[in-house]
Amino acid sequence: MNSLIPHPVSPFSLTGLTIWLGALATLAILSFLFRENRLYRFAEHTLLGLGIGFGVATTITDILIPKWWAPLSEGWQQRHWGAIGVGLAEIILGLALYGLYHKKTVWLSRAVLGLVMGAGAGMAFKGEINDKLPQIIASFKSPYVPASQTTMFNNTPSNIVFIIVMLSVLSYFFFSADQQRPTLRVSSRIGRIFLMLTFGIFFSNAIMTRMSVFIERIWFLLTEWLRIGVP
Amino acid sequence: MRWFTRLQAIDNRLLYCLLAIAVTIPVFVDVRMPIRPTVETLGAYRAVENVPPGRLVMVQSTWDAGTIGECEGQCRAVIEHLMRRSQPFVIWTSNPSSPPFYNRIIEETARRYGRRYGRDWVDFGYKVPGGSLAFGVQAMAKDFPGYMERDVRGTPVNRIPALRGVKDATDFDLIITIGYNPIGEFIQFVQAVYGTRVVFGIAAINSTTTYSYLDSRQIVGMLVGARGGAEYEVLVGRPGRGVQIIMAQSFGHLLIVVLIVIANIAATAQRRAERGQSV
Repeated sequence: MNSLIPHPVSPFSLTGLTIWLGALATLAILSFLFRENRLYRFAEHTLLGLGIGFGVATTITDILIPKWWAPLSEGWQQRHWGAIGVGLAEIILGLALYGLYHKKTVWLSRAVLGLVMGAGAGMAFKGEINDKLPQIIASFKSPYVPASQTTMFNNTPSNIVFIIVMLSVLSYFFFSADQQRPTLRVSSRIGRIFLMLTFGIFFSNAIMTRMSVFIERIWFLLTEWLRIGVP
Repeated sequence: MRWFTRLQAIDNRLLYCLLAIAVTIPVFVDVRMPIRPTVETLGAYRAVENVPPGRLVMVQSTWDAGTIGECEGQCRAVIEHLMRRSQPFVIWTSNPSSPPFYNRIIEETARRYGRRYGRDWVDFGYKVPGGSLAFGVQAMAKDFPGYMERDVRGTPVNRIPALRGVKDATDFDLIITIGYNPIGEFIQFVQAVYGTRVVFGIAAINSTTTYSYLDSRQIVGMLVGARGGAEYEVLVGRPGRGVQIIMAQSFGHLLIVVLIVIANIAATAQRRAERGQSV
């Protein structure tokens, strides 16, 4: 019975203080559910500031220093001209991006952006082929699978459903022929029903995720801060 | 105001309070429900079971405070499984706020099993910014020691006992990513090129479009949100955060279903009443 009476954690220790800060921030954010208020705004802006500050600091300490500054300074000490050249090229190209903010220097940023876009497009092209090609190949399913070869994802009923769903949904997006033709009209309507089912699944999964986040916070307040329900 | 109009105009704040009460029931009452692992969770579990002893596993964790509810259970169960099997693993992230969260779990589990840093696990911390994953993952897969260079404690890769002889992605038997989004770069640039098996641990909201990767065998298993975490916890025989959340979620879902039914009854009654008036 004692475990059902709130006995908040003491704020006079590092762990306790952390829990108190977490609890107050959680309550401030959840207060938005009641109505828009200053406490919520304060918590929101604090969170944004902390996030940006933390992101900038870790980018400097974990990315810029080990990946750019350390090799450059090491190369400088050892007179390793290759490392120095790469380091200097990186900073010049990086700074050129800021040319975007002035009319006379905008061409500098365009050159670097072209480089970035070219590399990104090449990478995306390679990535998409590796990503989608196996899925296209996997979509060629046999409507009949012998019992000896049956698996969870490869069996006769599943494959028949898969083929019907795939063809009907594809027909919904087939605009090269008149959608009012009887065959296409029926199949595209079936495809639309399957699409609606998919959107329903998307929505229910979204609810599940939001609920998990909400539950975790409520449980944090009860069990870690107020220490209810824990022996 | 008639009953059906009143039922459709319930104050949102009252509904939020009801939801908060519903999800706290398992805090006060010991509720147990059967949790049966789904095929995607079993795939993830078996993938870890099938890693030969001594072979390396890579864990990429990007979850943080915003996704504790969905991903903490997954991370806890995976680390539990790896450490229980004494499977050496490396962990790194592309989210700078993730390390404190996964480190807390690793340290707690390592203490319980007597595992040692450097021999049983290695932490590389924040290595690749989220926006540069395509470049980072490719470089890491091609030349692991060259790209990673040093762990979070500053030790060079070739001097870490667990990583002796590691050259590229083929030296890893399995890659497990845990976070809000699926990290497709591991499929595009590692699984497709080096054949290393991949398991996704993701938020439920992102799972709908990820099932096709299971069908095409580009991933061997998937942990879907808190449910995936709960199922994995049951499989490793250590129910924890995932199971707690899924129990609470069941009550929340029950309430939502009841509210939807009530709202539909009210809406139907209103429509009938309006039709009656117009006739």
